[in-house]
Amino acid sequence: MRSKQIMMKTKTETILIVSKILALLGAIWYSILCGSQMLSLVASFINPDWAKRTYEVDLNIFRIREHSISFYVYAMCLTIVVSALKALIWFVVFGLLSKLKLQTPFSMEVEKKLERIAYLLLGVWIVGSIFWKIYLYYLSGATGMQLPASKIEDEYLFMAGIIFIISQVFKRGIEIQEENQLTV
Amino acid sequence: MAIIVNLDVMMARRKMSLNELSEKVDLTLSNLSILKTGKAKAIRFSTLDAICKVLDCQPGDILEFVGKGKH
Repeated sequence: MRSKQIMMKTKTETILIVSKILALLGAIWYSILCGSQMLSLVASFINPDWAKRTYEVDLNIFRIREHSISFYVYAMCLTIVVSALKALIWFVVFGLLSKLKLQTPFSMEVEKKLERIAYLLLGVWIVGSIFWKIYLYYLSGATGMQLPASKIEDEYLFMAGIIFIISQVFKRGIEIQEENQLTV
Repeated sequence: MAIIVNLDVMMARRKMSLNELSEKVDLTLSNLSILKTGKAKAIRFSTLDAICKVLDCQPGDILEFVGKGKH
């Protein structure tokens, strides 16, 4: 029985370590992506051909540049903000996993980080979906161009909602844990 | 909180130290300290029973309700 408990604890610890590494990799990945998009935006004013070749930049956005510079800058800014928010989410996830202690998992710090993740996911949905739709509406009105819809769909809103609910359950767990500790 | 713990008063009346009470009640010093300083959120009946037995008093001697405007 005891050896089974130890095995389960070791398994959870391993899963946490692997998740931490994955979260860090995700954070680095999206930071690089965000950086490359920023670089592409700056480079497009100096050398547009070179900017086209930079990593992960949507060529459809480059087509806008030929019609309107301001619409191009708006599109790039939206893309950069979404990538930055995604990188931030992964950094917060990494921080959360680093703060998580198996002995006392319910802590106020973890709850705050969960709540922050929910708000950041909501931010991704607002910028990537709502703002992008508004942008596309104005773009087609001003230039007649039709761009594909955003890759960010309502799943982000769904995820934000789920994580927010989990954070509230966590909050209640912290209260119960605190009450238990202060019961004599 | 409106509930005040008068454990220190009862301990002084019975001339009992926190260490002695802790040994007799079988509670850790830190838990007794939490109770004495009013930081406790709840008290088990078993703990209350043990304290009352050792201090030879009623629960009302240890716990007191103070409404608004009093104290």
